[in-house]
Amino acid sequence: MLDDETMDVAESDDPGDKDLLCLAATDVDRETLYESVTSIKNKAIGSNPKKTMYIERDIITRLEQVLLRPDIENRLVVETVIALGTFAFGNESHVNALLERGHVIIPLLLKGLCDVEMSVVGACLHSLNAIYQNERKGLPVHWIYENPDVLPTLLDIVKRKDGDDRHFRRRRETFRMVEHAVNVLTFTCRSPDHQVTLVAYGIIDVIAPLLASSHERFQLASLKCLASIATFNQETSSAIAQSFYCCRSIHDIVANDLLSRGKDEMIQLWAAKCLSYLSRTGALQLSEKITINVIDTFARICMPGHSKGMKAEAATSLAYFIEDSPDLQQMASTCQGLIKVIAKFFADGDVKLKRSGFLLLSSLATRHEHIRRKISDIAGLSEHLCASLEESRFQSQLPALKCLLTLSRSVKQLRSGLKSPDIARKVLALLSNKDDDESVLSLASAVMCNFLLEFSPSKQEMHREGIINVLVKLATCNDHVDAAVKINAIWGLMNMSYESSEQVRLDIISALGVDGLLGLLQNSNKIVLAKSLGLTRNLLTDPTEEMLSQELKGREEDLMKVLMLCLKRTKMMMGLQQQTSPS
Amino acid sequence: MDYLVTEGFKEAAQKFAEETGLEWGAESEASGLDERLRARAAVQSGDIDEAIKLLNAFDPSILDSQRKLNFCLMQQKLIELIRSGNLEEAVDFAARELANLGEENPEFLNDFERTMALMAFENPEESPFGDLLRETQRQKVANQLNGAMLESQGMKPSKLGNIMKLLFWSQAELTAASRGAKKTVGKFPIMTDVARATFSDDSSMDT
Repeated sequence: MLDDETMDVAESDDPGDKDLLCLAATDVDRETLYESVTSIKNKAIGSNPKKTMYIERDIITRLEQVLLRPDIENRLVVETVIALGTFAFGNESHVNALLERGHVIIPLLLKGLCDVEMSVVGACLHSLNAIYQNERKGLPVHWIYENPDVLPTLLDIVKRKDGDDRHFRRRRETFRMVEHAVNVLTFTCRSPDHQVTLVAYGIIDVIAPLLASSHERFQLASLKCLASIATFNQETSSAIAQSFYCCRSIHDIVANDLLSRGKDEMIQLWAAKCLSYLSRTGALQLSEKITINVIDTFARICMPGHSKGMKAEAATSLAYFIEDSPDLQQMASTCQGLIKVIAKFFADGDVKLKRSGFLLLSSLATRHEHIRRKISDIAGLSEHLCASLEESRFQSQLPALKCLLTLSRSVKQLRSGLKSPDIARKVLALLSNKDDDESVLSLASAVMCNFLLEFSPSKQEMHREGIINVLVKLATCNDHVDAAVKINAIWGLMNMSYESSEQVRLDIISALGVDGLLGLLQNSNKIVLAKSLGLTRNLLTDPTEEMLSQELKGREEDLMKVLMLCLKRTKMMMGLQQQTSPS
Repeated sequence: MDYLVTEGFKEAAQKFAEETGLEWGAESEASGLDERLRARAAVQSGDIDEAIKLLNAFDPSILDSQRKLNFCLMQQKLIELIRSGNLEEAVDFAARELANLGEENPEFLNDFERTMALMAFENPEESPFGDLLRETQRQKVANQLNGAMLESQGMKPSKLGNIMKLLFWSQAELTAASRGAKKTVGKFPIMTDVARATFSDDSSMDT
């Protein structure tokens, strides 16, 4: 930290120090202050070492204090705001340093949006865009929605698209401001409440002219905005599907103009994404022609010749679009040799590409056996799955588990492509780690259920590796946030015990204990109860003398009482009663 | 007109507009022609700091988001320091700025090493890397700067430039097809002189 009281400007040789001292001084003249801030800005832009050096010398607070000076002139505001915004382009520590003062800086930038001077508005939008385009989760956005002036101001800026100003240089600045304003609205739309609020403020009508404009940057920004409003939200998607501009529906503009092959591929990608969101939420029924175009667009962008980011985006979007529809899965599997194209994702080694590749394979393999067969022919798929399961981040584990889950639904795949014990061991390792994310445990336990089916070659191996104890722990733990973990664990034990040997059943009863079994049978969750009854049935089918004399001795009455209680529950479904009936 | 404005030939564009009656003011202002000309002139005169100032005033997000251009400008600044004989300052600058860029972007390391190698020679102009000290290197950086400034305005490379690229590409493809084993393409006219737009009927000639 600089010691402002002892450092003498004249003695310091580092011009960076002089610039910083000027910021702190209260008696420096305007011109010197302006030049210092401009110098800091020009040195920091594009240079991470300089950003680090300035942050170590508390530059964020100093720039913030410059902004808070009374009677600050506009050109100084512009330079200071731009200087602050450049730290948002730096590395993680730079962004963190900026956001530590975010509770002061962001409201100041939002206040600047209402300034009469366009250059100030432009600078504030530039820096807000830089801050919010960061992919970092948890960036505060509440100021955008809590202050009733912010959204109307941003939307008014977007409406300036055509520019009232005849001065062309200003028109160029207006273009940039409009684009940044749309981007800020896009990046700060993080929840269903935000989506509904934006639609209530009329955002669809405001961005519609941008969709229909001739400027590709406007088209792209407005498509991204539309996508953020429509994602996973049936209400807002319906609002978009029912909106019109110049007698054409918004979705018609997107499907027939922006999805066309003559457009830049990034625009085609986002047009396809928008249409896929509108279709998946049920807001819009796409024609067969448009559906084929959407799938073809995604598949084409997955092909070599595109950036890794675009390929990953296209693959993830296509995975989402087809995941619920066997017909679309069939269509996609034959489009542009998709499975062979996805196989190249794994050879590349890029983490995001691998994740998106697994997600897409998972969707493709959901229903059709012949597609699963083609996928299992991908060279080295097992090794790639194992490698992803071993990674420490759940973002890599989840897509691999999803892919495994859909593949393992196939008897043939369990007995061929997935018969390697390594994969099952990796899944077991995930289940054994109590620190794992709940979504990982949920998926891993579902995959394990399939690996423990009667005809699975992995069943015996898992028994030797101690899967029973792992599943019993998960089944009897009541701390799970996701109920699926408990359900899958019991299901796994149920599969394990089905027509199994005496030793397996003894091991399960020994690990679970009669009290543990009785506890499961008294659970209030209907699905837990159903699977527990199934487990009990499997365990007690043709009980051997050893089982009766050792594990169950003296507990027969308790067991019968609980089973009778289950039968007596009047609201039980037929399926449960079938499970309860003694075999 | 699109080519002249995009590539920054302001006087030629003005003259062209006068002679043809075309309007050009709006397009040139929208593309930031004056700013681009000043920034290019700064690069071509070797004043990289001035070019960076002008670029940041034009669009402050360019250098932060375009690593390649940022590296090229830093590399050119290093070259200018070597050209002027300030080797100590050059080494210090390389250690402070370029080394970090090279670490973060390994694809720049080769160019970084070539530039640093200039300092090992008494007459760097005569070294194997002497091309870095020629005017063509400044021109190359100036063109990249121009392209980045155009892209930031949503403008694309000149249509004429694209057409010429397509022309040469398609001629090469047709030539390869006509000489291939299957000879799927017969004779076709080839543009042999682009400046005069003269064609040859004999496509068996080398282009």
